[in-house]
Amino acid sequence: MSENFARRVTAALAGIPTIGSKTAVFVARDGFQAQVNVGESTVTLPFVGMYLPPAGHPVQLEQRGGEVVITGPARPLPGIGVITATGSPRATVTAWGVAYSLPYRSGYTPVLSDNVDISWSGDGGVIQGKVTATSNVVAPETTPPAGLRTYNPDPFTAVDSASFGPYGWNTRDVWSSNSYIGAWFYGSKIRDTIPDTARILSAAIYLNPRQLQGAAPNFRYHTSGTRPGGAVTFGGTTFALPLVGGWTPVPLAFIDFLKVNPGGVGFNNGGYSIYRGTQADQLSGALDISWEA
Amino acid sequence: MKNTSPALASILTGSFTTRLVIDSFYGPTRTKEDLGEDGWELNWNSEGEIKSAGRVDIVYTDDLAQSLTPNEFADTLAPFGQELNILLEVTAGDGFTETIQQGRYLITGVPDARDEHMNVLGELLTIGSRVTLTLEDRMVRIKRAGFRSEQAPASLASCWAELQRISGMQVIRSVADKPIPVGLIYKAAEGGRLDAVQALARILDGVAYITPDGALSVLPDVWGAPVAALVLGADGTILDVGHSMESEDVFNEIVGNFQDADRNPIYAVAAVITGPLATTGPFGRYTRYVTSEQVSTQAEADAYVRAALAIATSTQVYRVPVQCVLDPRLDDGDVVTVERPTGGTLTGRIANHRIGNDGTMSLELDVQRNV
Repeated sequence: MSENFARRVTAALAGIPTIGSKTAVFVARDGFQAQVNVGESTVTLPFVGMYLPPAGHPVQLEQRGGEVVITGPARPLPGIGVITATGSPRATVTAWGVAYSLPYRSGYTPVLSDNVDISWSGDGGVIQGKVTATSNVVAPETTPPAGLRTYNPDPFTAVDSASFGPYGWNTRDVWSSNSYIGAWFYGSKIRDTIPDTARILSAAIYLNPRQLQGAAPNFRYHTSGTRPGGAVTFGGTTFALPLVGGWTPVPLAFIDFLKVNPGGVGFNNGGYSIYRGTQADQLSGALDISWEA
Repeated sequence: MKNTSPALASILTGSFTTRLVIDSFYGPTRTKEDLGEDGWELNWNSEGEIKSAGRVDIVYTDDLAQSLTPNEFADTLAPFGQELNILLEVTAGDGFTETIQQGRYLITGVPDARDEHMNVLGELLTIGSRVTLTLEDRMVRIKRAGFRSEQAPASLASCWAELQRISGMQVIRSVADKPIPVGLIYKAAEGGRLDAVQALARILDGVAYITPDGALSVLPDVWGAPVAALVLGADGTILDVGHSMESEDVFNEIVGNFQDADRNPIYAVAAVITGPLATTGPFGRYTRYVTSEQVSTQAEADAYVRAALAIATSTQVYRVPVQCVLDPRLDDGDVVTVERPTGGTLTGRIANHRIGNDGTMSLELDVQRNV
C-alpha cells in the first residue's frame, strides 16, 4: 500500500505524465541548443544527443524529472544511398525510398547508380563518396508467430436450466423421462469464446443427480442460448449418457456445434432420471472444455 | 442486470430474507459446498482496476474436527488460485426461493483466521474455524500474468478474438466486434496484460470487466435503456437519496500529442468554448494531456481529442448516492430511474455499488448532464 502511495506521489510531482515522451520538429541550431516546433510553440531546448538531424526532421523529446530535453532524431537517417541524378553543386541520392538533393565532397564526382556514403548533421547531409559494396550483414532469424495453443478455461457454467413437459416449462431441475425433456442454457459464452476453427480436445459436463432410474437419458444438443417460450429443438446424434454423477465426458461433436451456433445441451426423453438444476446447484450442467486454436 | 426470474421482481419490494451460498473451488474441482458465513460485504466499482471485490467471514465446523484455517498453498481457503462462487439466495414467506449469481471470486488474501479448540481426553480438537477472506474478481489473474516480451496481436481481424486469446478466459461478446488498428503492442511490464485487455476494450468503446459468472466482457460507454426503477412510498425501496458534485477530472481542454508512422509529430486540441464549462469562463481551464498509439493521422487525432473531451465533460459531473433495500439484480452499468424525495425522477447509470449482510445496498449513480 505504502509503495503504491509513494509511486503515486512521485508521479504527481513529476508533473506531466511520467511516460512523457513525444516528438517535435527540428528547426535550427541555437548556440549549442536546439530550436524545435512543438504543438503550438517554438522553443529552444537542451540537446543531449550526438548529432543534430537536418532541419525539418522529427526529434525525440523526453521528460526527465521535470526537465525536457531532446535526445536525438526521432527516426533514423540512411547511411548509404544510390545516385539517381547527377548535378552540380548537388546530386540526387535515393536512400530508403526517399530522394534527397545533397552536396558532395569536392574530391568525388557523382556517377549514376553509384552506391554512396551519406553523413548527416544539423548542418545537413553530405555525400561522402562511392563505397565499394553495400553491407552483407545477415539479419538474425525472426521469431515465428506463436503456433497453436491449448486453452482450458474455467468451466462454462450454465445460466439457466429447466424441464419442459405437458404443462410447459415447470421445473428448473433437469428431467429426462417419457413425458419430460430437460435442458441447460449457456447464453452466448461458449460461441463467443471458442473460435470456429478450434479443434476440441476434451469436454465434460457436471451432473448432480437427484435420481437415476431406467434407461440412459437421450443426451443431445439443442439450439437455444436462453430458455425459449416453447420446447427446445434438439439436434445431432443421440448420446446414451451413463447413469452417473460428477464430471462426465460428452461427445466432442456437441461442442463443435456449440462453438459455432447458439445452443445448449439437454435430454430428449429417455429413462426416468432427474438432475439438480442451476437453482439447486450452480455448477449443474457446467461444461469443462479444452481446445486447440 | 443479472439474469433472474420475473417472479423475483415483486418479491424484492416486499419482505424477504437473504443468505449467501458459498462454494469453494480449486481449478474445476469443487472443494466445499455451501460454506457458512458470519458477515460479508461485496462491492463493485466500474472505475476501479479490479471491478469487483469483497470480504467474507467463513465459519465452519467440521464433522471430523478438522480445521479450515489455511496453512499450505493448496489448502481449501488459501489465497493461491482458490476461488469462491457466491450466490445470493432470496427467500420469501410463501415458499419462494431463488438464487442469484453474484460473482466468481479469487481468494487473494486471508487477513485473519482462527480456530476454536476443545480438549477432549487430552486430545486437542478443532471445534470450529473462522476465516476472513479477501476476494477479488478474475481480473486480478489478468493483472498478475505478464507478457514475457513485447508482442503484437496475432491477428488484427477481431478485438474479441484477441481478448479471448490473451486472457485465455471465457468471453461474452457484449458489443459489436471491431478490427484492431495497426500499432497496438502488448507490453512486457507489470500489469501489461491488463493494460492490453483494457486497450482492446477501449477500441470497442467500453471497459473490460468480469461478469458475475466469471467471464470477461465489455461494459459499453453508451447507456442502455433504464432496466429498473427505484421508488419511494409503500412499495418503495429507497432509504436515502443524496446529491454530490465533483469538479475533479472534469477536463474542459484536451491536448493530444501523437505521431504518425514516420514519427512526425501530430498535435490536436479540443476545448469547451461555450457554456458554463468554457475555458474562458469562471471555471477556468482544466487541461488533460492524452496520447494514443492507435492514432496516426491528423483526422484521427482530431477525432480522438474530441471524443476524450466529450467523455471528460459528460460524465462524473453529477453523482447521486442512493441507499436502498438490497436488490441483487442490479449491476454496474445498469441504467435506473430514481424517484426523488423532492419530486420528479432522475435517470442515472450505476457507477459503483455495494451490498452487505445488513440487507441494504448503496449505489452511486452517474447522472448525465449535457454541456
